[in-house]
Amino acid sequence: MSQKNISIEAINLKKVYLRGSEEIPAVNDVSMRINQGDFISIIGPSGSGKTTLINLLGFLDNPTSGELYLGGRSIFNHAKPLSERKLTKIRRETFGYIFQNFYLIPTLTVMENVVLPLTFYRKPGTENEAVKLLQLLGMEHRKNHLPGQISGGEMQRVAIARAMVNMPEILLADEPTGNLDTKRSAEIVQVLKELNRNVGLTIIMVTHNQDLARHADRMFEMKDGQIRQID
Amino acid sequence: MEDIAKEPEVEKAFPMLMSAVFDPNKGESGGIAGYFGVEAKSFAELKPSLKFRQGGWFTDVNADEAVMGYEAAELEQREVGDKILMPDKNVEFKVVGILERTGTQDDGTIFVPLKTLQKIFGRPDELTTIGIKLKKGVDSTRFEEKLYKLPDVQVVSLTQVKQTIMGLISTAKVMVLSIAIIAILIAMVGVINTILTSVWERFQEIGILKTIGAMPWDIFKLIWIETLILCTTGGILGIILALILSRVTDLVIRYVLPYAPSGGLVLIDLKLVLITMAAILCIGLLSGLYPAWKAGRIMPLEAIRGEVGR
Repeated sequence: MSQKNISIEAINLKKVYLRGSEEIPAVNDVSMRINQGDFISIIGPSGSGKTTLINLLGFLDNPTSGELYLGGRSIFNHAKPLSERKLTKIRRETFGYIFQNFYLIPTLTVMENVVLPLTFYRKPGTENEAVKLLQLLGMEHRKNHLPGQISGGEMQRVAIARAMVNMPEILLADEPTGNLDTKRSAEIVQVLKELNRNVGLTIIMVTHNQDLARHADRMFEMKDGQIRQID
Repeated sequence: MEDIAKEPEVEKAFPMLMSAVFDPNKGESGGIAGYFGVEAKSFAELKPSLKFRQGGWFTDVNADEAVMGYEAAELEQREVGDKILMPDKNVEFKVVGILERTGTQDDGTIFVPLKTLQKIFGRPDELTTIGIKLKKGVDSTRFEEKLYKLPDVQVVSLTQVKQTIMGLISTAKVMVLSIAIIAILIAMVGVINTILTSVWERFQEIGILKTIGAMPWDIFKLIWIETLILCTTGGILGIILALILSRVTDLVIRYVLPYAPSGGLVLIDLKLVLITMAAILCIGLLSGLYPAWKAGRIMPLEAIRGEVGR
């Protein structure tokens, strides 16, 4: 969407969790580069560290060590954690997020949910984005419904619209189809693919469904905190 | 009496007899009428500020005559020359004088000659009170000590009376203030608890707001404003309730205490309402600080994982 070349580069990224006195490396020495306009998928069994990795790449979490570059700018290095303020700034300017559980605000209508991010931060030129997005995602007829009144597939479309309303460069999707049936899952991945093709959105998708992962340009597999590209 | 008058420090001593009779016609269900037996000459010296609106002092120490305080005369609708009947004892007095308003208890008192009152109540040569005026430059405290040595005598100096009353008032004030402070503390804990609970219930929601771009300050404001709305609503309801209950309190007091003065007993005016509202807002702002700060620190990741990071 932006003319800037926003890439993510991770070098020797590591995230260690402490369980008691035992150190558990959820992400162990991961180096990867995600270019502008990429659509990559990460698969792997549960506990393989794929969610931890996507959280690190999306600045939702601080790595234990390693380096992280965003658009060539060093954002994180030498185990210096970023403040919540700085993380929030990076997140809202560059990223959109969707999750398995959609996380729509149940008391707000579809339209209100979509424009909610604009309450806190608004990029210039996003005036009619919400309406356009709802049209694009085929949800315009549902805009005055509450999340409880629409189906799971529709809720995920609303969540995508909300993630997209500030025109992010990168969309992070953590198990976006985890709560949907096969047909709806395929539809959501199709929507993501169209966003990638049509507006050049960078997409990082975590899933455990190989068939869906195959729709991405590049596919990675996580195992015991290590990453490997699948050809 | 004579002994006291002989003390070197004493300039003058004034004998008095105080009596009260039940007057069934006073107020709604009767009341106490206070009679003060005094010697006209000495009493006038003790209280040189007393002035007559009508008439003057008794003509004789044994006369069935009365001098009425301003309010007593007003209440009984008497003028000089009228008669008043002492209830219960069935003695009639002739009103010979009515005093000007003094703003003291004298206003409500009926003065009669000392000897007359002693006779009516069958207490000849008995006194209830001796007023003492000390000579100039005499240490009243030291003289007081001296009087305590007398048997069956209670000494009350004016300073003491004032101190007692002030003491009572300040005790009451401290009590009321303590209750108010405790109430405010309880209210604050209640508000903090309510808001913290509501923050915890919406833990995930707040985390999501942060992933979609809300700064810690945005969340802080959100929760703080919510606390303010809660407190303002509560405050307005409380004031309405107080206005209603003050009327009820009024009625209850009137029912329990028939002698309560007329007019509103519990006074809630605009100033009090405004002060209360301002206090509520301050308490709200203070109580909201901690929950709002807590909410602002919720990490989006914790919310997504469904963990509660405390």
